[in-house]
Amino acid sequence: MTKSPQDLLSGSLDALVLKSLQGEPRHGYAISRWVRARTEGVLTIEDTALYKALHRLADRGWVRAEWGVSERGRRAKYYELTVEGRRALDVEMDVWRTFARAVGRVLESG
Amino acid sequence: MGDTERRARREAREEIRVHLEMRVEDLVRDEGLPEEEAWARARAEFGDVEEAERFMARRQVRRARRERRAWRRGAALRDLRLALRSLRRRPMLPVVVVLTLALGIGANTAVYSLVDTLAFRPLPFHDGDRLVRMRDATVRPDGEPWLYNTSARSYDVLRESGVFASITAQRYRLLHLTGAGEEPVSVVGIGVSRDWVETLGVAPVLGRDFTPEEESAGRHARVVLLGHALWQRRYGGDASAVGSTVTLDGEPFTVVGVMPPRFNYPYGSELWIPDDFDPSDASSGPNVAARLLPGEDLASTQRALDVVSERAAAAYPDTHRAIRFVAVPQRVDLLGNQPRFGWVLLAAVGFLLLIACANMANLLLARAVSTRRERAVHTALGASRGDHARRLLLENLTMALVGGALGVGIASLLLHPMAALSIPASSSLGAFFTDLRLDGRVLGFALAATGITSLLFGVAPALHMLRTDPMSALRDGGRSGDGAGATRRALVAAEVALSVVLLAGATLLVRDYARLQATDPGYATQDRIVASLTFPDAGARDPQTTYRFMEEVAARVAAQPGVAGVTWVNHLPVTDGSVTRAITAEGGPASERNELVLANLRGIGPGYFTTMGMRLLRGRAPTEAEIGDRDPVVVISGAAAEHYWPGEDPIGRRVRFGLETASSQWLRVVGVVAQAREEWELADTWYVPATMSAPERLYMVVHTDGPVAGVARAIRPAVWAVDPDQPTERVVAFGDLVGETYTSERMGPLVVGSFAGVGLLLAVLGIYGVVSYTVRRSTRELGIRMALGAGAAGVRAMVLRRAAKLVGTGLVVGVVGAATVTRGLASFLTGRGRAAVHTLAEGGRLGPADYVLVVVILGGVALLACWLPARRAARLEPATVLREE
Repeated sequence: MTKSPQDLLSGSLDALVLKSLQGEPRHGYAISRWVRARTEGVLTIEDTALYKALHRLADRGWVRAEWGVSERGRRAKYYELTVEGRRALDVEMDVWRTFARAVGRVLESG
Repeated sequence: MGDTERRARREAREEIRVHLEMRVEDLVRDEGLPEEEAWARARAEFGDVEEAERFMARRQVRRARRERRAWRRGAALRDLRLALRSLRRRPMLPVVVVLTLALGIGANTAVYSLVDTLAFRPLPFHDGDRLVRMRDATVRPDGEPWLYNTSARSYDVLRESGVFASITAQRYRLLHLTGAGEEPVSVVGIGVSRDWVETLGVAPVLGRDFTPEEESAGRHARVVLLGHALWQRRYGGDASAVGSTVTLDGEPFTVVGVMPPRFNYPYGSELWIPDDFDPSDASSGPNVAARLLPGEDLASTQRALDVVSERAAAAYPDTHRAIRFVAVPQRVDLLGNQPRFGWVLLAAVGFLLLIACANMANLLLARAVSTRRERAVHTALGASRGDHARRLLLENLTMALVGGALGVGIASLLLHPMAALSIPASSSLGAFFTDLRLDGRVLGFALAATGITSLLFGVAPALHMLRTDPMSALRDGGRSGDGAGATRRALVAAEVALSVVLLAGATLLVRDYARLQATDPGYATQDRIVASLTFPDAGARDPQTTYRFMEEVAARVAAQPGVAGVTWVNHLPVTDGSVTRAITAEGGPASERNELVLANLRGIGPGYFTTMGMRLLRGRAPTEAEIGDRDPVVVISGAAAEHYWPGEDPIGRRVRFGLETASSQWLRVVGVVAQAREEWELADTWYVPATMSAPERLYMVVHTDGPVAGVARAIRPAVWAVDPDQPTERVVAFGDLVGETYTSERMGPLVVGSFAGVGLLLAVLGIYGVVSYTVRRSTRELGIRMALGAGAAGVRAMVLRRAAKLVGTGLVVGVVGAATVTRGLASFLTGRGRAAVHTLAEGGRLGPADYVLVVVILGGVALLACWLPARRAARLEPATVLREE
């Protein structure tokens, strides 16, 4: 069975969302666009999954939601990382790096 | 779906819509799709919108609820912190409130511990409420019933009757204790009959009780139970005392156990031994206690006893003809009316607390009003009326709790002085009833009192808070009148009324105590020393021997410098006495009526009346020869003379113990002495030669006309010089002895008087506070009046008039209240009882003069309290006042 890169995405969705908010607060659509842009179109997040992930992260206290005005002049709900969220992101990145390196070593070997 | 849910749903929908709109814009711009197609694509890309909406809304609601809960928790803590900060910022008022509360709660708790001990604490017997004291009842000269100790014969009759589940007799045996490696000493022993253990049910703390066999064996049993105090004193609390041998009156006894601490029943008891009781002995003496049959109550038992009394009257006419067996519940027998006195005291101190509460409520109300501005700002920032009320309640609760806790501390300090208002420590179970403590019930009372008072003084301000609009404070500069005025005035009036009642009660007690002090007791209390000597082997001793012994001792003491006279007697007017209950007065109306008459009996030595400072009305005292030879002479008291032969000369007449048919010796009346104040409501007294009986205890009375200390020191050596084995129990100034007897009389007015004084002070402070506050608040009005022509005097008069109306209302209510209360008090405290109880019951009610006095005192003091604020009002400059707008 073939697994596309898209299939591997679901487990690491939370990490991607957290990363997307590292620089600045964004609203849901902006996050979706950011992921598409940064992965050069390889990965697209399904929007329902994205919003569910955002709410899960808010429950954990890693992101905070606030209504604001978007760049297009519209009312939009902005999400930003909390202190705990930033810490969680660092942990995720470490884990991912270790994991990726280990798997890569195995798969790339002869 | 609730509001929160609806809102969450709306938000989720909007968020998704915005997302879709933006996607559509991008699609149209970047890929040139037509709008409709772009929308379809966007929606398809998004996924299940409905499901996402639901998920998001649900999560949002849950989060919102969690946050709200956390906020509320934080709010409570925040309120507490705010409350504490507010109290700390202006500490004067909270400190005053806390101290006042502490004193009030402390006093109330201490008094309640007395009441609790007297009225509620279970007696140290097993199931003490089913225990009664048996008394033989006869009729006094004035027609009142007189209850006295039963006799061994009565005990026998009662035992055979089967009216009780169990019954026991106890009597005093003064015993000579030797052994245990200490010096010989005389101890007060209690000889007990069969069923003593079963009836009283007191378990020893060490060792065991008497067995039924030992009890039945009586004098042959030779076992003893030590009292706790004796055990501590002689054995140092050593457990090995149990099983050891002591010698009592020369016989060896085995110690089988130690009784519990503070168990001195009957009074003075130091150890217990089984004893014999002779059914033919009809002299009164034994203390008979009995346990009611299960299922029977006092009334049914008394009915059965009446039947038994009649049978006994028929069987033993010369001793039991007019005697009725009466069962008195132990608690009533031991305490008399003392518990009621305790309740009266509690009411008094409760009034005090109420007055203090009124003051505190006023103060806190004023404070609540004066902080209106600050609270208005808080309101503008989002606090609700409920918030303010809650914060205020928290402030007051904090003060109440701290005050209450301090109060308990104060109460523990007051327990010792409060015990002085209980029955004397030396009376039966006195040690038990003076052992006041802060146990569960008492602490529960303290808690309840704290709760109620905090409710009283915390509620008024909080209610005011809820009712008034905080915004109005900001709007009109905080100058308009506040609705609390009426409450405040009512509180002050109530304070004044309560003070009147307290003052009235105190006046009653003080006046009667003064009257008691002023009356001549009939004997001298100054310059007299009393030494008590005990004679353990009295039964075997020949009265002449005792007489000769006392003669020698008296001679030695009289030889000391500074001694004006020495005498002796077997009972003093302030110590317990012996009473005969059947006498015959020859040829007098009393004997014609053939009734039983009671009289106090005193066995006196030579020179008794002169040494005691008692006045002879007629005739003479017995001579030394008559006393020494045991001549049948008697001196009777004035009341007896009036009673036996009213209006006639009693000299030469004859009296004797027993009824007409008795065979006792006739005594010739040789003198009549002025009636002395007798402790036990029985006035008729006979003074017979001391040689007529061999008493177990004698009181030597020494009249000094020089320094007392030197003489007092010489007494014991004088006794030892004559007989080195003779114990001298106690040497004390007669005045002190009398003082001991009347401690309660003294304390009553002192305590209630000081309560009244404090109440007065509080009321005055309250009036001052309210009047000065009112003046401050109405400066504008006063300024206008002055500007319109009212002079300083006019303003002053106005302030005083208003205050007078307030105080006047309180005085009227108070006087009416006091009249009702004191009338109720008189009937509440009737009956037998010690001390201040008598004064309250018999001292009678207050007269108009007393009320005038109280009104004048209170009114005058209140006037003074108003004077300062009134003067301040008069000094106002209208211009300054009006400008200060």
